[in-house]
Amino acid sequence: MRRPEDFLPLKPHWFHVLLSLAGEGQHGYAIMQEVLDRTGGKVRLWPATLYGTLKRLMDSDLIAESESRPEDDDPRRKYYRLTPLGRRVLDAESERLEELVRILHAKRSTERRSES
Amino acid sequence: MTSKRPVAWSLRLFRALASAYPHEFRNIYGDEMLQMAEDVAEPVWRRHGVRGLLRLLADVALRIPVEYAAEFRQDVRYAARMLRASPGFTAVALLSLTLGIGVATSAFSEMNGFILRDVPAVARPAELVALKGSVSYEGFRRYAAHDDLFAASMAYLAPVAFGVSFVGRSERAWGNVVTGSYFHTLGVRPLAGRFFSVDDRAAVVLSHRLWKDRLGGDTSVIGKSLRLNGHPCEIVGVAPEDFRGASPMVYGADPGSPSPSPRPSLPSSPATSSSAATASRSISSPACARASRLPARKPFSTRSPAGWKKRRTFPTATGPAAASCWPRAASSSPSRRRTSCPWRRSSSFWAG
Repeated sequence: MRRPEDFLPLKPHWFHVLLSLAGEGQHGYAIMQEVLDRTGGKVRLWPATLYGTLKRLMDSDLIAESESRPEDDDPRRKYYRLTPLGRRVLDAESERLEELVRILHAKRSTERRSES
Repeated sequence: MTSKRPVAWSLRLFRALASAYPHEFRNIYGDEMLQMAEDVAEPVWRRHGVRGLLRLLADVALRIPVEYAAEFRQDVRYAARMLRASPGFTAVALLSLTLGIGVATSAFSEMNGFILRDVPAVARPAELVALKGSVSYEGFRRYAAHDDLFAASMAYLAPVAFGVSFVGRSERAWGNVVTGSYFHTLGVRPLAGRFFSVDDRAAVVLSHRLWKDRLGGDTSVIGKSLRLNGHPCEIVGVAPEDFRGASPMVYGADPGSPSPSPRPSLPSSPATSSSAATASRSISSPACARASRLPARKPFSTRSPAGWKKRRTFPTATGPAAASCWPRAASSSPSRRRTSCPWRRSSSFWAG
């Protein structure tokens, strides 16, 4: 069984997909749309890249196919959800990024103090 | 940007590229990926134009090798897991493979060294080349005429069974029928006497074994006559001890024991003027290329003493031969060669 730390630092695409699935299960197109909206159109997961990423995440046991789905949705679409390991990996990566941001803030405040 | 034709073309191309993905990937994600491409193609076209569609296609094209590599990695990991799970089977399989590859490699190395490369007593065997197809004497003459291609050339027929008679004693021996340039081309030096000259009409060079075992190693036999298949030939020289002919392993008669001759001996004449191989020295690559354009197979007709006519070509000797006799095969003109027996007119023999 791999530990969450083994996956860090996460690839940006992996992080975006895991982040999109942090709430409820979603299908591929919805993941792409959410990433596009969240990044202001800067990060677009093209179809082949997105499904390649989903395959890797499935193989790594970070996401799984979701059983629950809206009744009126297209049956050809698959829904994906985070696994417990995927959730822990996402948390660990978020903490790592927070730590980086904290370090940056600390450096900025030191800079400001020395300037004043 | 109102035309939807670029979108349709892009989607068609996208489907073609998607069909090149690994089977497993297509089974699980193929339909979804195509559906998503159909969903995004038009918005991308409206927003980004041709560049957007190209980006869509580039994405699907560039991911093909990535997916194959991932599949390969997965297969390797799976195989490694399976092998780890059954160490006994793994050990046997590895051992079998190791032994098989080792035996095959060493066998070929030996064969390469002994049969294809090793020509004892020859001055510069690395510079010799042999034609791999049957060559008529006429063909050999055409090769030999190109002295800008080959430093020297020779032809021989092997193995040939001879009835060797000397001072009332007869025995069967294996030998080669050779052209006069045979020893010169191979760069061999005689142990006693000399090798063939242009003036020789019926001459024989003896192998060291035949000379030692049957003639007592007596140098006074040089210049004397022996009979090969009933025809008198002058002994002009003796070959070095380790010389076994140009193909000692492939056409090998055992030089240590008289051969009981399980193979039929050739009727004397037709073979003698045909050439079995051409060897040359000091040729360059362009020369090889030019040589390949020359005719390599041209059968000629010979008439046997009995009067029947037949066409025959002779196998190429590419390997070694433990020859007993090397009669010299020579003929003066193609027309004469077709109507008479070269054996009777020519003859230098290398006998062992």
